[in-house]
Amino acid sequence: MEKPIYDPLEIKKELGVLYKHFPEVKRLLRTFGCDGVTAEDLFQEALIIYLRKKNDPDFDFQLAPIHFIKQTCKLLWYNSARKEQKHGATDLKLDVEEVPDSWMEKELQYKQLETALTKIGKQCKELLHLFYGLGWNMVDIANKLGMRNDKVAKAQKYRCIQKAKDLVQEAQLSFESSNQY
Amino acid sequence: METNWNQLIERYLNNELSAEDKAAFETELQGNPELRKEFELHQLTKELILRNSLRTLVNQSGKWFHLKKILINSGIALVIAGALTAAVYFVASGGNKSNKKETPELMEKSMIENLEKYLAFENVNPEYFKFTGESDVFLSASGVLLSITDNSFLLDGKPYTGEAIVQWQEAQKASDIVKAGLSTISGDKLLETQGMFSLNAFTPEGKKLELTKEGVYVQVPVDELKKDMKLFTGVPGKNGTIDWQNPEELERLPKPKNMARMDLFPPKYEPKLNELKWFTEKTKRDSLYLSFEENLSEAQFLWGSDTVSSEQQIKRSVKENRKSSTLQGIEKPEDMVRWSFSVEYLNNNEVNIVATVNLEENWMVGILNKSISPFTIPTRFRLDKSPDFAFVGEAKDLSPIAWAIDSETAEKYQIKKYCKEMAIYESSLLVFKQKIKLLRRGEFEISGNFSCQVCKAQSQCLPPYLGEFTVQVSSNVESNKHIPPSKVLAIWNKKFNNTNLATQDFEDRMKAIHETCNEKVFDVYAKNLNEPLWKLDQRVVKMGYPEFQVFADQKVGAVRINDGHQKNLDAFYEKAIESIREKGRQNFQTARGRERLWDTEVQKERDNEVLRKGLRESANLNEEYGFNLANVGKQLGKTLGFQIHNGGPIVNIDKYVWDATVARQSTVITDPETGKTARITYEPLSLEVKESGKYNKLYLYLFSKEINSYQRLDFKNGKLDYNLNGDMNYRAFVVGMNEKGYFYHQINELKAEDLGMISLEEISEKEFDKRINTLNEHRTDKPMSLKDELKWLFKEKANYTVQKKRRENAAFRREIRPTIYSCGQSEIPDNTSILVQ
Repeated sequence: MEKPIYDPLEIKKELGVLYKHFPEVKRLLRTFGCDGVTAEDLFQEALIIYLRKKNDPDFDFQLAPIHFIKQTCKLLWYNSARKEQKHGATDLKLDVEEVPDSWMEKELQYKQLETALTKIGKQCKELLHLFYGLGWNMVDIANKLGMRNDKVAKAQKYRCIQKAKDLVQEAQLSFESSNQY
Repeated sequence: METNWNQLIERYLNNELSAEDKAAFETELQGNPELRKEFELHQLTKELILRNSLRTLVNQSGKWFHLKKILINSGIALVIAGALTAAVYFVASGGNKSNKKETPELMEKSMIENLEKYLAFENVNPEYFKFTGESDVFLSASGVLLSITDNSFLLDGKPYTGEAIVQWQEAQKASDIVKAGLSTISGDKLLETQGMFSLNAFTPEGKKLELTKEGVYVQVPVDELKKDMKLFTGVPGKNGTIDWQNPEELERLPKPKNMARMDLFPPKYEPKLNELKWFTEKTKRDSLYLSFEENLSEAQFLWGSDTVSSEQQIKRSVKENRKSSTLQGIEKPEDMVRWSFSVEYLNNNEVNIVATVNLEENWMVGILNKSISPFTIPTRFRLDKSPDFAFVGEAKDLSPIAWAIDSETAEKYQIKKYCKEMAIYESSLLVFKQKIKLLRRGEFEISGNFSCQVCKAQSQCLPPYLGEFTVQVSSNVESNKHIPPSKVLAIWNKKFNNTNLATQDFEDRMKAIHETCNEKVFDVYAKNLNEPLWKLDQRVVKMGYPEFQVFADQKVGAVRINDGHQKNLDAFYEKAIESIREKGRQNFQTARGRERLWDTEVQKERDNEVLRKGLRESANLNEEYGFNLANVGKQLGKTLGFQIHNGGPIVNIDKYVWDATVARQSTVITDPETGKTARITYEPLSLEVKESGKYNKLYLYLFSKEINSYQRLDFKNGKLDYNLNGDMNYRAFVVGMNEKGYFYHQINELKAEDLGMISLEEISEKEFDKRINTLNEHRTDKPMSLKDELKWLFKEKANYTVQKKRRENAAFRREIRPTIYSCGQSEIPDNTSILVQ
């Protein structure tokens, strides 16, 4: 079996609490020259990473969640800034306390690959979100998405997952080729 | 092929494969690099999908975070404002949604911008509410109440049950309306408005939601309830104007209330009971209420058998008298006096029951309701009490009166003249009238009885004459109007929860329904459960009750129930009324049966007492006569036996002795043969009882050692004068009785003298019984038994308590009755003393 499905209700609740810290995170990132839009992007990415990290059975939080999120934000900002090479990486007065570990390395790869899924289309995205993310059954999904019955929804689910796999494979290939340089 | 793999991998990952298939799959996975590659890709993709799913949640969370600044959270307490009516209600429609991509930074602004495109009124600040997906109530800043259920919204034509952002605009004040540039035009007509409202709802993603048929319930507080306010739908026209169309009747939902907490009693009923500190249990109050139901008993009966009239006693003895007199063929009273009855109709539902009395020449009757010698009973004319009518004053004597024996009597009875002979009427045609007020509609009988004694000369009186009569009256009086308690109690049942009847609104109306006293008004509500209350209110207004317009104007709708449910309830209602009435009838009959049994017992004791008194007095006289005769015989030196056989003169002696004994006068008897004299002496005893007024009954029991029978003497105004036989030895026992108990004074050797004032001491029933029996039993060998006499006395005493309780009950009912029969019928007496609890 794979990783356990997240409990959407718990997550919503926790997000409600964590999001209240956004203003202070935004202020923090601004001190590094990050604009508001990017700040929220980074903050949301950090929230995703936090939620996934929390689900890692090997992981034991040393820090309060918000500190982990702040650290992650700094790391993400460092990475993006380095990539864009607006400033020399060495110029960046970023105090990244921890060098990204292997888990984080992998996570950042996932982040990269996940962008592939933006092309999947609205219906597939919702279907996969409901099925894998929220754990809905096929009957409810069919109702919600206006499909005739659960069989139609199930067939559609396989089509969507195939589409997702194709997109991921494609992204994987381009990622690998770009890394060869 | 790939799709098959997808399914297989999915099933493998979900642990849905059998152990065998699982092993086979794992073997294949080892040996097939292509499958392995596919499997890894599948896992990666799934991981990414999950990641993306989290992104969706994080995104939503972000949107809510930004919206929160403008959202008002729900959770207010539900307080329904008394007044309501929204004049105009506007559901904005149309508008295209834009699905342009938003960057998070712009989201807050763009979201609001997006939502504000839908605003119906310009320049009116909207309010936003966050609907969580569960039924909830919101209150706008101005106090408008919005009730949203999980059945309020549609998304793309399908029910939507998720979270929603509710956008609300209101323009109630004239200034808001002007500021918003709103028109109040419907077609070419100008509208008067009590407010314009707009409601839109969106998913958290900003998608527009439609309203379902049930929609959102809006309740608007208004200062003044204006009639005929309707709900218009605004249709945006060119130039930004709004045309108001499709007027609909406004309805407010009735406010449900549990039957257990309802109060459907007449408004003054419970306050009165509380004031009197009566039982608070609902069951008792229900029963009492039910006992005021009209016509609980079909049979007419004597209401309030407070006293068993003395006439009844006489009637029995008279009936026997009449029988014997008929047998002997002597003059009969019915030949000398004829009673006839008629009805005289007056205004205002009042009638006179007229009794006309024709007397044969030279015959007379006593004056109406007055005891005048030589008549043993006064002339009487009485109607039997009935709930069908109420007495107006006492019976009037319209005959020309009269003569009295002496000036004292004339004064006492307000008789105009007197002569030395007797009281008589001046004419041989007498007219008596009793005025009554009819209380029942239709034709019915009124019954009554009369009594008189006819006399010719002072000594020539015929036995009392008693009779009964009935007269027919017809009345167009409106029937006793009130809402039958049985009907009210029938719906006051938890079975009627979730109907119009179990609402605060009906409770409010019920008070007014009681005020109408019209059962049909009640029926309108009780029998039309599926109709909106305001329609029923209007129907009642048309029935002639303009006061219900106030309710109609509230435009309260109906608690919806389905047809099957309705039929059940209708059937239950009809059945319940009948069974509740039956219960009331039974309660009433049981209570009445108990009263009647008691009255019969009391009457039996009284009948026996009359008989016993006669027998005792006769025995007493004979014994005393025998004693006196023996005494005289002894004094004259003769034996009784001799006298009887010797004829003539001795008869004279017997006659003297008899006369002396009857008159209780001292007499000297001279034997004409021997010239010897004998003396019978009677000497006066007199005594007075202190505070005699407090005793209902006051007797002196006289026990002689010489004769077996005892005597019971009555006091007159607390005084007793009696001549004691000088040759007898007496003991006496004075007993007084009232509601509180027995009081006595014992005299072991009674002498003929003036005892002056004596006072009585309280004594228990047991002790009284013991003492008087002791006194009686130790005087002669065979004393006359006191057993039955005491039984009667004790019954009379017990009857005081019973009658007192009945009087109290009757008074209580008289006090409660106007709270139930509130429609100008307070003068109706409730004569029943029956109290059902």
